[in-house]
Amino acid sequence: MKLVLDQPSEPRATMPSGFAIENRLQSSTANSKEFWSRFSIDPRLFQITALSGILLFSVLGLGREPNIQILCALLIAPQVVQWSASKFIGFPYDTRSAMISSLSLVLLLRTTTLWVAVVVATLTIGSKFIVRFRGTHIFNPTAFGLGLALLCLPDAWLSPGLWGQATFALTFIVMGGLWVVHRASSFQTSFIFLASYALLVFGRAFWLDDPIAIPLKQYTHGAVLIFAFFMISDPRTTPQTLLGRACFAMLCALSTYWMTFELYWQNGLVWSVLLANIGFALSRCINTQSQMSNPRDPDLHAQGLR
Amino acid sequence: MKQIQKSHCIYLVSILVGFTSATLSAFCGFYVAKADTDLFNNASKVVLVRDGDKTVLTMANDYEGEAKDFAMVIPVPTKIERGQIHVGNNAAIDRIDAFTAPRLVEYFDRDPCEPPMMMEAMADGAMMRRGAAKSIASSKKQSAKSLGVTIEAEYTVGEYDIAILSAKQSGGLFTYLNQEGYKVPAGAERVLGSYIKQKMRFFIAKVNLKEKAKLGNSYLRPLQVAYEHPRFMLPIRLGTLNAKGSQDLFVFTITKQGRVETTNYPTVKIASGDEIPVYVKDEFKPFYKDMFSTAVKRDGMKSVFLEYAWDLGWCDPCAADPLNAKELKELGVFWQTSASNGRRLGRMPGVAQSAYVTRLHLRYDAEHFPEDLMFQETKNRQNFQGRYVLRHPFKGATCELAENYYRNLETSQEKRAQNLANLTGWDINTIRSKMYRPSKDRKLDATPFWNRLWGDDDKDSGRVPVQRPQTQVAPKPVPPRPEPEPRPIKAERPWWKFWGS
Repeated sequence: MKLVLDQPSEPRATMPSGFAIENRLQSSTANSKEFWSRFSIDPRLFQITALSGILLFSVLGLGREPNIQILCALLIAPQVVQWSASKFIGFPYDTRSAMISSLSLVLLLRTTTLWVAVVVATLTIGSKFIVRFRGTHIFNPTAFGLGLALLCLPDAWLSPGLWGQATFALTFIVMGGLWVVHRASSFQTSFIFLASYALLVFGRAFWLDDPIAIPLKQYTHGAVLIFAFFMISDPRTTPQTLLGRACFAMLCALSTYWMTFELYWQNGLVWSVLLANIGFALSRCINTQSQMSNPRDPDLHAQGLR
Repeated sequence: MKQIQKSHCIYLVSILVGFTSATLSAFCGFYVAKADTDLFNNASKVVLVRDGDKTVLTMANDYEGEAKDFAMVIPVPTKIERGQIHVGNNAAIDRIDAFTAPRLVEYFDRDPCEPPMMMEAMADGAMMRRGAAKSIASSKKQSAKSLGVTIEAEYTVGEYDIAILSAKQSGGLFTYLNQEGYKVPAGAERVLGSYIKQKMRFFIAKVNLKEKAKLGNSYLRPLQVAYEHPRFMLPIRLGTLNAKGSQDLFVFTITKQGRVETTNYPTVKIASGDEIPVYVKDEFKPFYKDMFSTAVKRDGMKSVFLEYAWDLGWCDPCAADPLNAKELKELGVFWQTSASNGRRLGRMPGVAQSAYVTRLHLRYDAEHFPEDLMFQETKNRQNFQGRYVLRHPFKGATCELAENYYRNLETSQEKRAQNLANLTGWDINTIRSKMYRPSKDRKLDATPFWNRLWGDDDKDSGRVPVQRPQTQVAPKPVPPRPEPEPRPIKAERPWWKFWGS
């Protein structure tokens, strides 16, 4: 049941004001899309809002004390790199995508050294302009920056235990709500990933005969959702078809599970995103008809360099 | 049943630990107690030394019952050979406990009437001091095999008889343990089954009374196990099965790179750096216990608390002498630690390097900590210590400046009382009544501040500016320790042979 405010084609006698109020069952998604298309808001703005909310929650709710210098470095450096690289290439400067990367780094990266923060931020945004294949970047920028930091830089680590179950609930509700409202197709990847990962984690617990509290704890890490909604959902490093997205998300879930529970690697989420990015780049290499391989894509800036 | 009557007392998973010398002691595993044996699980102490995939686990043993009743079962991720088991030294665990313990730091206010000069003393108050079979016959092996339990090896190490078990089914292992006279708590079968499916082995230790008599010790020494496996974890699930209420666990980790934290539970810093009333110096143990209990209560028993994280090359202030290379080796530090000459990086002479210690403290039960503790070593080398500041007021100053000093002191003392009440949940009025308040001893000048600022009509308005007395901190000098001779580990020997044969 949906309440629709509608401009009638002709005034009705029962509504002297000239408006009709109708209650209709919306069986057609076309109508719904038409309705929501009036609010043509970039989904990245939703992501920025959600990430800011999580950051606020981590400070006020979880008592995290961010280092102001590091925070500023992670917020400013990506914008500087984005601006410089855009100017160099000759594309308009867009803040939104760099802001998502910035906020993801603020939430996930732990460091106490200013230059490490600057280098990670530079690598993150720089990878979008340098590590490219057929008109778009290969790796999710944040995952790329985090991966390099974990491998190569001192004083950089991730703290998956930092996020309690409250973060999971908050993020899930916010992002789930946004998905319902906006129907952003990129979130399909997130939800397929979450469903696949849940199947694996709860399936393992069922096989081990563990109490339900254990898989719940393993699954409801806030970090899982941050990866799901803000990295795996990156439209430029994920397939464009539903089937492709499903395969991509399931590959991510499977590799995360394998790295975490079979190889006992730390930060399996980062490595699995990077692995899935490589897998997708390879598939594009094979499939020369890929839409994203078109360098004359008029929306290249808005999509490929965002 | 006869078998039940001769039940041994086991603890599953691990470690007896002293919390303080007064309040002992418990075990992060569960006791499989004799029916009439009253044992309690309250606190445990574990040292984890880790580099790469190599781990040395040391379990402090504060067991205080009959030695013949002692036994423990520890799940380990991989198969263990004789050389990978070692009996350690309680003193080394006491040393790391004392070294990393939360501490009091004292400062003394100077006489406000004297001209400014450096006059400072600091004393550290280390607070935590803790007080602290037979072989299976071949017929039993056959019996075990029929139950799907394989006794992979049996050893006598020090005063312990060790058996390494693997099993195919939890039911078989459960039955085997019961047949062997162990009283296994309800619910253990399910947990054992989970560990078996994760391909974990079981390490059973019992006291060999003859060997113990030869040694002549009245206590049991800590058991150490060295293994190589990517899993960096501590099994605590079994330990919650027969626990009465919550338990405390202290985990001391020594790593090369940096701080250790839990990956499946939040790791949060314990409150530190607050100024508290001086009388707490005589009540530090209750203070620390209540402060920790209050922190756990506020946190909802969701987190692991970080109490100390420091490069072992130095400390400031030191609650105890830093550990030297020999002591670190006793705790299982298998990599080469060099001794500093004290000239580089401000390190103290004779102190081992290339080692970073983290002290984690958690209070847990099955409801709040359903999963085993999973750890990661981070690159974080930022130092942290739980420290609480005592500032001794100067009493007896009589000059004009003293009025300002005591007025400010009244405010400061109130703040310290509130800090203490906030940290511990103690009654604020009781705290106030126990602490020094300038208003009790002297009549403070009640002149309004504007009169002090501008003066009365009949007085000169030029007054000396108000200044709070300054104090400065100097670390307590630590006497140099004799430099031990480093013993290189031969490349051709297995890494766990650092203990020697």
